[in-house]
Amino acid sequence: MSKYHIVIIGSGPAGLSAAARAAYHDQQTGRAEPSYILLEGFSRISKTIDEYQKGKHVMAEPGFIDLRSDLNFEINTRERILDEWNRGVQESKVNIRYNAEVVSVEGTQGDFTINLKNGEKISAEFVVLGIGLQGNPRKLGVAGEDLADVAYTLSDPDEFKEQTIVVIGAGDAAIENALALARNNKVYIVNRRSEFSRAKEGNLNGVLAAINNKRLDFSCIYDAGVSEVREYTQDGCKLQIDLKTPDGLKTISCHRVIGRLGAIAPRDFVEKCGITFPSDKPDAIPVLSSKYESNVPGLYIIGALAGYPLIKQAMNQGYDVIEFILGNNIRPVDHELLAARFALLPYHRDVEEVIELLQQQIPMFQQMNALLLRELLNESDLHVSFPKAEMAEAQRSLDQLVRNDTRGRLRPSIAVAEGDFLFRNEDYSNTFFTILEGEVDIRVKNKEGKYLTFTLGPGQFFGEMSLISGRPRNGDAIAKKDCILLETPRRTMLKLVNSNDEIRLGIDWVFITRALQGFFAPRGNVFDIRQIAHATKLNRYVKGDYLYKEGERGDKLFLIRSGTVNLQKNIGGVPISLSQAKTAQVIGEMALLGSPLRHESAIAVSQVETIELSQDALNALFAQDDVGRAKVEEAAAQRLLTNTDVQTYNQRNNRVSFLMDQGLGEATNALVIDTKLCVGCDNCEVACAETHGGISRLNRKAGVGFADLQVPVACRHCESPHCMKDCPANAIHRAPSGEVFIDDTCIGCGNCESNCVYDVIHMAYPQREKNSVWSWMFLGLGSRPGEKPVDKKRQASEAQGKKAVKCDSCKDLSGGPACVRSCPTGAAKRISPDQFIDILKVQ
Amino acid sequence: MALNKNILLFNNSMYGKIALGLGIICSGIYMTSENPANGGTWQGYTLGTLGALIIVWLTLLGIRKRSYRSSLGTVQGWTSAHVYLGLVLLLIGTLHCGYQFGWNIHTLAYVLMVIVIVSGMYGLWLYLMLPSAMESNRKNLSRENMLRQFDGFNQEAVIIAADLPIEIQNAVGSAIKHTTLGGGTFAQIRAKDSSRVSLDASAPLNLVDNRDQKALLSYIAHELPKPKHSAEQHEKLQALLDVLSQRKTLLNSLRLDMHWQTLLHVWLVVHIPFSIALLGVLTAHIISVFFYW
Repeated sequence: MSKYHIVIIGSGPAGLSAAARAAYHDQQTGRAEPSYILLEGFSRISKTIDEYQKGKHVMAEPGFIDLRSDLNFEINTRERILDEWNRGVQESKVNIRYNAEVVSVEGTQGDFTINLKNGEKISAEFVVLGIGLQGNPRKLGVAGEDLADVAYTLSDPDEFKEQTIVVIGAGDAAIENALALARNNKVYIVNRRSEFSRAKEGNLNGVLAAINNKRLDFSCIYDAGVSEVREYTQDGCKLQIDLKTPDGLKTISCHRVIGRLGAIAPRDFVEKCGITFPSDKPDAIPVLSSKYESNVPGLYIIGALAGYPLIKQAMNQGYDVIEFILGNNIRPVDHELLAARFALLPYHRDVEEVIELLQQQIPMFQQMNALLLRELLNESDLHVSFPKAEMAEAQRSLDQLVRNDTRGRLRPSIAVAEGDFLFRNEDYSNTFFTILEGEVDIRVKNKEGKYLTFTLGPGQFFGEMSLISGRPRNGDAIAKKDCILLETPRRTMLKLVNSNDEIRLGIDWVFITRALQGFFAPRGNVFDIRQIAHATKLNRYVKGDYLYKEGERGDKLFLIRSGTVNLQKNIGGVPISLSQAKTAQVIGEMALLGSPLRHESAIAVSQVETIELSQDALNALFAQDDVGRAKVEEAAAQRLLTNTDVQTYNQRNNRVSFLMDQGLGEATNALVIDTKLCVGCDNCEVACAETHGGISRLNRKAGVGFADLQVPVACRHCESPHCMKDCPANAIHRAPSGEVFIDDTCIGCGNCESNCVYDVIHMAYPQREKNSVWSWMFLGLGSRPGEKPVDKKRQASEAQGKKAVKCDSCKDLSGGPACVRSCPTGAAKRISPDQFIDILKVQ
Repeated sequence: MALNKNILLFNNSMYGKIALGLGIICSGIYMTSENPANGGTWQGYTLGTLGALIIVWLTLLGIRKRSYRSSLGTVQGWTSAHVYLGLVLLLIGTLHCGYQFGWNIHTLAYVLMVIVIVSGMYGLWLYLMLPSAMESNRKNLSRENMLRQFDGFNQEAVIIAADLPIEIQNAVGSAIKHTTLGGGTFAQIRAKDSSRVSLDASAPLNLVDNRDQKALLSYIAHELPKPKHSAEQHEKLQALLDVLSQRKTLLNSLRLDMHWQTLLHVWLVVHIPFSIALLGVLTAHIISVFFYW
């Protein structure tokens, strides 16, 4: 059994960088035999990046962090980056072993045994896991699954022409591959079920259109499973595949089989190594020390698996982890950045000491490991308040810091004046604030226009309402004297909440308490309401779920925590939408106000979370504050009134159902076209292109129509944007006025494009400044309105790679969205769900 | 937020009221003139100056429409004002000239103005009437989708016909090949159906009129009752007739859609060049007037 000091598993950016560092140390000490080995299950390095599509540009975000690695890395194409790493691996004579798939790791520090798939065992004192998150593709699971022409990826569909290819799977990857291949090949797509239920809408439409398109040689075999693949060399084919179908066994001769059956998440493997996860959530991250050591002593985790999806971060960790294992207590690469972040703090201590101090003082931070806290501090803004008289002085010292930072990477603390707003009522921000020191006033206006003020102190947090619901701020937040605050972006916070149950439960509890207090008992006793909050139930629903059905007896009411609920009633046998209820509204209250029979059905139109209250809890809340009962009764009366309105406009009601079907229930600001006015001039698209570098972000003609409404393919600025879910560079933001936009730090990964269920995000090369309409009209210079700008250095801009583009609702134009303002007939309108009822009132 | 509010109703027809007021004031000014009223009196100069300013402003719509970043009102508001002020201009211009016409540059300017305004009225009528008509004609399908559907019907017809006797296959193939749709601007406006078909397999070039697909449908309809076809073939013929009749309906819708869509663009071909000509002649008219002084 071979024996090493360190075994590194996985040759992605993290593992490679670690191996390169270990190689460097071996060289320094003049060792003849390597002290480490890098194990890679695949035949080449960096499998995940290797499988990116051909020519993909790989970005080097975050720009503000330096690269610290023995290997080079800068923005480039997939091919160049892999070449560079391969060269680095050869130059520094990295001890790498390919096709060495690890099945398990046993033991602890000083005595690890690594079992390979071929039965070989390797022993090690330390193990570094850098296996990423992609996992291994799930194979067919039948004889022949490893034949040469059976593949589980497809990097370049144009490589194949005039072949017969069988694609197995019904997810997005399978459909995209099959459609791309169908351009030049005969394609079968094999679906285990009788429909494509997992695919997103665009792919679903695409695959159905392809199946029905008689000119394409494209067919789907439904309800089918693979039973065997074997070599077959007749008729110019290479393989033969047997499928079990409802009509019996079907055999297809083909050139290639591509399985797209998802991946086996690495979690099982990681858990088998003895590493624990803080929660069962699929995106939970294992608990690590500040030196990337897991709960198994001597077993370190770096890279995406440790929660760091960006290449540069992963490479830095590879470097650091080897230094840590060798006992060199180096300072992390972000030291300087954090020092600037802490610049205005009154402590005058070293960065590490400040972090330790904060961890001791703030209850929420006590639940976090040092690594997570450090990342939280790195990604958050630090606000320090000063009396107005001292603001100039504070600002001067910050300016000094920024001036000295010649590379412009530092993001120092932010000075705020005492009495300044941190956010205002109705702002669309969704960051999360933690008070480190001092106090903050939260001011909420009640119906009579009077302000109710709550003061929060050190260790408390606020802003959780918008974080959870995606709705605008409910109230103003004002900094008081000498307060120090941490403002954390939504994405960082969600990652934290998902990986730490204690924090999630803590935030949930405070959220429910505040929601109940805000809605039912503004003047109630916080401690009593906390007790009531304990007795409530948190429910989650997916789109299409019923919260309750018409005709049932009910004994609960629901306070909506996030999402939109459609209330529907059967009128003359037809389900008619009565109204939509959104975050912070109450539904089903009539059941607790004396009429237990539900008079309408409540259906989730997006992902919905509710707080469920029983009669007892409601009575307890009513006892706290007499405002509560009046408010609930008023809400009920209002709803009943709206319902009568809706019934008056009954015939036109199916328009609202149409809008709901188009997903406008989760929109905050959606473009619709009044087809009774639209003359088809397309000035809306031209205006969009002209104000956005020549690329229109809306497609009018591709929209879906119903009666006199058309919903173009354009961003709706969803309440909880799907696109924001999984942006590794955190480049998607929501402006205070509600617009969802993508900033320049986009790395072009395309996650948002595939996450958007409405197909409104596209990948495009950065465009040059557009010429004016007049120089085109009178001098013939540049391109015509609505077209891409003329770019003589096109190759240079294309070398930068594609980035995601989408509608930003013209947030930077003073007049508002150009599409609406440039419509000559007023057919283009932007509406929010609150205005649906107005649509019904059309004469 | 209200649906279906056309440009005349924009902002409670505010610009209509302004234009009406302007018309009343201008009529009042005209009334004060002693006979014979003409452009050379102070009333004439006042109305003429106002009219010229309105003309210049009206042409600015072309610039505002293309100033995509402008926050100076909305294009809808501008269009609404454009329509009303354009309408009242007919009155102001007529009052300005005091009904005096002749064979000169002044009357040329007037005639051009009338052409522009009348073409504008036609455009307005199209803008008000056509969208609703087009919407119900298209049944919420886009032009692309209609064409795709049309392709689908063609393919379906060919596939069904493949199982039928060769004469029928040929007839269907020939009808598809010689169906006309669209064409140049004039063809689209005229929406003339010059489809033809050969119903004689031995003479594929012997084409007969197939307007509205009448010849083909009649041919298939007459084939159906004939005893020479098998039961299966009868089924197929029935299916073929169904597809062809849907295809015919769609063809009509497409022609109508093209006709209307082209009308929506083509009136501007009169309106805009004549506006530019008007600006030129108007300049000449104003300059020449100075020589009378």
